[in-house]
This record gives sequence, C-alpha cells and structure tokens, in this order.
Amino acid sequence: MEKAKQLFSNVHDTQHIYRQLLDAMARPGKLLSISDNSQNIGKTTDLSPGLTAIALTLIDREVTFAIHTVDNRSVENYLQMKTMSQVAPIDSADYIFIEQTLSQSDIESFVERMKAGTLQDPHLSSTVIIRVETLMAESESAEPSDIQLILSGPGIKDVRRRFVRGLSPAWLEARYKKNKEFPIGIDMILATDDGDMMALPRTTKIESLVI
Amino acid sequence: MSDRAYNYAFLDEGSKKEIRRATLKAAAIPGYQVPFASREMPIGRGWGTGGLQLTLSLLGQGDCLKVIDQGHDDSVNAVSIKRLVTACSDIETTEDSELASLIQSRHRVPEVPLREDQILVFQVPEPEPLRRVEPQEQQTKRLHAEKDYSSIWLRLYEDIVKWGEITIGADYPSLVNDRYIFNPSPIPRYDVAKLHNAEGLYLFGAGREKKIYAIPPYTKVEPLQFDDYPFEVERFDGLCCSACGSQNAFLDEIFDEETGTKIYRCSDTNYCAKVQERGGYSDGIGTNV
Amino acid sequence: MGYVAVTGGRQAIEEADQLIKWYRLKDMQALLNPEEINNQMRLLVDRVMGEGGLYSPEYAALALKQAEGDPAEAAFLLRAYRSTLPRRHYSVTVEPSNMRVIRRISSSFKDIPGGQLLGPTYDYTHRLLNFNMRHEEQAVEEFLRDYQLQLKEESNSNTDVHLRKVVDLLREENLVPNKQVDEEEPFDVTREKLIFPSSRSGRLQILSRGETGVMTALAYSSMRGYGAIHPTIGELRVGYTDVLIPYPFGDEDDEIYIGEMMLTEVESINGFEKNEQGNPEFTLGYGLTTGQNEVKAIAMAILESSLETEGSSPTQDEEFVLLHVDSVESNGFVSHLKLPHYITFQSKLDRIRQAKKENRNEVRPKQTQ
Repeated sequence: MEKAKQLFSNVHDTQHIYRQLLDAMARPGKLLSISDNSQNIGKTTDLSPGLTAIALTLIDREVTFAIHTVDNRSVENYLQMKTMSQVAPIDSADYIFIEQTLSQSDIESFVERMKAGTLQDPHLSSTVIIRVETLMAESESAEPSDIQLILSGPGIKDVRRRFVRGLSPAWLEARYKKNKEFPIGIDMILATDDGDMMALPRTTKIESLVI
Repeated sequence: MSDRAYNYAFLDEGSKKEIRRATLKAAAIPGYQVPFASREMPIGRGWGTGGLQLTLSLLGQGDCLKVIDQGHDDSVNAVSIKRLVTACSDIETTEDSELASLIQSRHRVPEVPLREDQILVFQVPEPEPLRRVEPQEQQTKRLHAEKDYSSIWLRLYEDIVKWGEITIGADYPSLVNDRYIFNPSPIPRYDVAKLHNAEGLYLFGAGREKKIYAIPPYTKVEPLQFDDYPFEVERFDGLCCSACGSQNAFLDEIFDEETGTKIYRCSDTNYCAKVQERGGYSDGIGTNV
Repeated sequence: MGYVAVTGGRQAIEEADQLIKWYRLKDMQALLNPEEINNQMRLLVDRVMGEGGLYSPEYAALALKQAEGDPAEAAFLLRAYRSTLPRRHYSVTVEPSNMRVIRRISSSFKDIPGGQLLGPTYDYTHRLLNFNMRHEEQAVEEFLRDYQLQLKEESNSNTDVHLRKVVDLLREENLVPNKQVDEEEPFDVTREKLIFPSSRSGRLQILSRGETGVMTALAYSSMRGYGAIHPTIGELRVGYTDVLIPYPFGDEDDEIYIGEMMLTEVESINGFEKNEQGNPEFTLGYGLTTGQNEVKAIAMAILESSLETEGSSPTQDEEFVLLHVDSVESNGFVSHLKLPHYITFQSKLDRIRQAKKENRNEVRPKQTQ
C-alpha cells in the first residue's frame, strides 16, 4: 500500500535526504533509500524524483548545476525557480544531474570537462548524480548489462560488492582517469527512480566486472 | 526564542545547505579541511559554534542528542548547548552515549565505541595542525596541497632533542588515509586510537576558523611517531576511578572539595554511572587501553 | 560507593541567568528605555551597528540595554540576530558622493568647494568633565527651545547640503587614478570564507565590520613607524545617504527608495606611485562606517592602504590584520579560555611528568661515574 503523499518539506525531507547522502558518502556502496521523501515530489518534470529530491536538498543560489536529460530546459527552469540556483556549463557546474544515458564518447568528454578541484582546493569539484535502473547488494537475476562493483577504501570494511543496472562502464573508466591524483577528483552518487541510492566518493577504489 | 519565530534547528535552510554541502565534500576527502562560511551563533566564537552548526545541520525528527564537555554531560557549556538545541527543535536529549544518534563533544570521545548508526561531532578550536609551526593560512594551505609536512616532523624531532619525548599533549597531529595530517581536536592521546578504523562517523567543526573536516568509518588514522620514539598515550598506571573502579577509562585528576586529597574519577561520567550500576569495576564494556 | 559525578550545571546556568538580571536591575532608579539609548548615546549605537554588521539603530540600542552597555556583547547580539535574517534584496550601490552632509572636512586643502563644515564634532571640545550634566533638566529645556527657534529661522534656505568630492578635484588634474567603475560582484565574507590572498572587496568588508579599538591601535602602529602609511585626509564626510533597491517587479532600471542611513566616509591620500603609463599618481585609501564613527573610518583607510604595500610590519600582513579585527571572534576565543580545559591540562601534566622522568634518567648516569 502506498504511503500517503505529503507536500515535500524543505525542512524535514531535505534533512532526512541529507542524512542519507552523508551516510552514503561516508560508507561508499552502502545502499540507502530516500523513497519516503522523494515520493512526495512526484514526477513534475523530466527529472526523476530521486534526482529531483537530491537537487532540492543540495542546490541553491550559492552553487551552480547542470542537467542532462531530454528536456533540459524545463528541468532547469523548474530547479532555478525552486532553489534560485543557476545553470552552468559542465566545466564549471558544482552539481551535475545525469538523467538520460549517454554514449561512451559523450561520457568521456563530459567527465573530462568536469571540474575536479585543485591540490589546494580539492573540495571545489563537482558532484555527479547519475540515474541508474537498479542498485542491488546481491545479483538475484543478472542481466547482460549489469555491472558488479567491488569497492574498497575509506568507509568500507574490507570490501563491498554491489550490482548496478543501467550504468555504462564508461563512467567508471572516465572516473578512474579523472580521480588518479588524489585529492583531486569528482564524487558520484547513483540513484534509482525508486529512491535507492549509493555514493562513490573519490576515495573509493572500484574494480568492476561486467556480468 | 521569544517573540520571533526561528526556523527549525535555528539555522535558515540556506545556511544548513551550505554546511551540508561542505560536510559531504569533507566525507569524500578524509582529513581535508573544507572551508565554510560559518554563521554567527547565539553562543560565543570559540565556545562551540562549529560543532553546533554541524549538529543543527544534521539533526531532525527522530534524532537523540548527547552533548558533553570534558566527558561530562552536566558541564555548564554542554548544558547551555543542549538548551539551545532543544529550544529550537523537537529532538530528545540523553546522557547515555548508547542511546544517542548524535553526540556533540568537546575534548573527549566516549568510552563506549561508536556504532554504525551514530555520528560524533567534535568542537574544534584550531583545525590546522601546522599552525604550531606556521601562522599563515596561505602557507599551510600550500603545504597540505604539496603534502609537505617536514615542518611538523621537525617540530616533533626538536621536542625529542630537548625533552627526550614528544611533548604535544592533547590534539595530537595524526595522518589520515595516508594523505592529510589533521588535528583530532583537543581529545587526549588516549582517544586518538578510537578514530582509527571506527564504525561510526566523526565530524569536526571549527566555527571561528570556518572549517569542517571528517574521518569516515574504516579509515586509517595514525598518530605521528618515530620508529624509536613511538606514540605514547596518557598513563594511569596503578590508578583507578574512585567511584566505579575502572582501570581502563580516561581519568580526571581531582582535588577533593572537602579533604583536599588527590583522587581520580572517570572523565566519561555516563560510562562511570553505568559501571557503578553494574556493581563495580569492569573491563567488559569494550574500551581498548 | 555512591559517588555521583559533579552535577548542577543546569541549575548553575539558571541561577546565573537570574543573577545577571539582578545585577542589571537591582540599583535602578528608572528603567532604561532603549529609545533613549538611541537618542542620547548615538555614538555608541553607531559603533555597535558597525561592529555588528547590521544597520539598525533601534536594535543596536536594544542590544546595548540587554548587554548592560558592553559594546562587544551588543555587537555579538546583533551579529547573531543578523545571522538568522533571510536576505531578500541587494541594494543598488550606495553613493556617498550624493550624501546629505552634516559634516565635511579636508586636511589636504585649506579651502575646498563648499567649504570646510565642522558640523557636530567633539574634536575641539575641552575634555573637562561636566558635573552640571548630572542635573541639567532645566538647562536642556531652555537650550532645546532656543535652538529649535534658531533652526526654524535658518530653515528658509535649503538646508540639504550636497558637496562635491575633494578627491574629484585631484582626479581632474590626473593626480589620482581615474579608474573605471568595477561592477564585479563583491566578495561576501558572510557567505563564503575569506581566502588569501584576499580581494579588495573582501578586505574592505572585514574592515568595515572590524572592532574600532583594535583597528585604531593597528593604524596607530602604522603611523608611528611599524608600517608605511601616514596619510593626509583628503576628505572626511558624515551624513545621510539614500538606500535604493531595484524594483522587484518592473524594469531593470526602476528603483525604490527604502530609506537613508548615516555613514562616515573617509578618503585618504597616501604617497604617490608610478601608474601604468609611468606617471606619478597619489594612492588612495578608503574607509566607511555606519553612523558617525570617524576614528574607525580613518583607521580603515590607513589599514586598507597598508595592506596594499609590501613589508614586514604587522599592518602589511593581511592575515594578521584581517583575521584579528573581528570583535566577535577575538572576544569569543580569548574568553573561551574560561571553559574547562581539564583534559588538555591533564594531557600536559602527563607530558611534563614524563619529561621530568626523562630528565632524571639523563642526570643519573653522570652521577654514578
């Protein structure tokens, strides 16, 4: 039975989403859910509720964002109106929301352009939020495009295995190149339409296998 | 909070967002000091505004908050902070470190190890470990970028030459994730090991200096030491808490109000109370010496 | 065993709350009306507004009452209050050159267009403690009545005084840089941590919110020789400037007047340097404060000029100046030493006891030789 929808609270829903995001970033690969909060948004634009919820939680007039979806314009207008945040090109955007899948060469060029901070200011790097189809701890029904991620590094006790559907391996390749010189790097969050979520900060070592 | 309505958890949502963004970056770069705007709070700069901003940006319905100072729940400043938080939010407070989801602390880590569902927020007076040897922020920023830590190693070496030991007491500089040297806040050396490979998340807020940093769980934290001069913790050899008998807790040295004699008591008052409840000293509550 | 940890923190605070209230009120004859603080202690109110970073004479007066007259506490109250206010608009750039002037002097020229207007100033008063002010009710009544009559008589002519800037005269002779107006959005230290090297707008903002005393001391050090700046005041003006915001619902050019604020502005003239074309030009310093706070405005002009020069004096070190002039931060951190430091001290005790042991170990072998 569906939980009754309420109006998305800019105070309480964002706080809960933030706590999930922080848990995700502190424990890379841990599967978290923001469905309780994102369901209060519904599908108002081309941007999925998961990504929209994260956007409403993080962006405002002090930062910039970029969108990649079918109807970028309507999403940009929506987010600008809701948060007062400004659109910026991929090269300078603080938060980048990828709703639609991209070709390998597009992924490579996007990631290459993204800002990854500097040695003095590694925090001035973009956070990329990517919509994926499914995130799983175990692969119940492996499909050909599923990727197995073997994660290690700060926040992870020994090793963590995750299965992702709907993420092009090109993202992981591009991320690897981008994040070679720690602390410089980009941080990633993967989110599904249902509000499942996990984070891959730049500290996480990823070994990936395509099923 | 009289005739003017304040936002939930005092801070306006814009302020919370800025702190939250900085905290997320801090979690992604363990030990690196992320700058943030740092709003003025109703308590003094230097009195916990950084820790308070972190707590206020974190807390929400369902959280349970513990605030301690020197390990004590009833310390005047801890009480003052708790009052402020409860006045502007609806969350519960507790003295039991095992019941809290959020713990804000000045200068101590509770004796009972943090669980995965807990966050410890430290109040930090001086976030910059290299400030001991370099007053300029512009310089220390560059040194961290270049991973040039020779100056602090030299300082430790000079200590050994002069005193035969490293004389840094609390706030002992340590290396995180093999990359950044950081100040763990003025916790005793005794507590530094608790940050290494922990289950819980440690966040550090320096309000006056305007920095936030983090130690994620399962992260390497190594106090600086030389092979022939290893890191030493405070020792309480042969001493125990005169209230609960604990030998494996950090002890306060106190002069008895009435007799004037020197006695020792657990700094972590909640831990002490629990041990007493269980009827005497124990080493079963799980702290490492 | 029955020992309970030292408790009473909560009761202590509650009792302290009562005690400060008691000390504030126990000897009162008549309850202080914050309006009267605003009316009769305007210079203190002006100072607190500047250090609090909030232009509101009414709230500054209230803060002073609440803080029993402590300007640092009052500024703190304003800052904490300001912290929570939503920011709805940004004003159009305020133009002190259009100021409705009540006082304007120049130390650089004897005569200037519009003349030297002494205005309300204590500069030339004789600092003789006036015991008559203890019972001045009748004298005050007479004075106000007579002076108001005098003002009425003089009000036939237009009393609003608008004066050209002295520095503009020097600009006409190309002795002062003729810079383009820089429309870049200023750095806002209340939204972003100031980074070094700092931008000029960040520096000016920090100084404008700085504590009067520390800024005066630092400027003094520069003048006495710990620095390069001993300027002449091109102009000091005090008066009321209009504040306008862009009309939110109309044309970009439409503006609404929302009020006026009293400001003190100082433009100082330092030495001269070669400009890009190789011609000598005066370098200027700028100071701006809320209300009438002249010494701080002058100090600000000296300090911001000093920070543009190179050298080893404290006032040429931007981190030294900018990180230590904030009254909330400096008062807070110095005062925080009153907080318990038992842990850090215990840790130090451990170290000194160890060091003593090491010392004995080193000494002993020599003695047995």
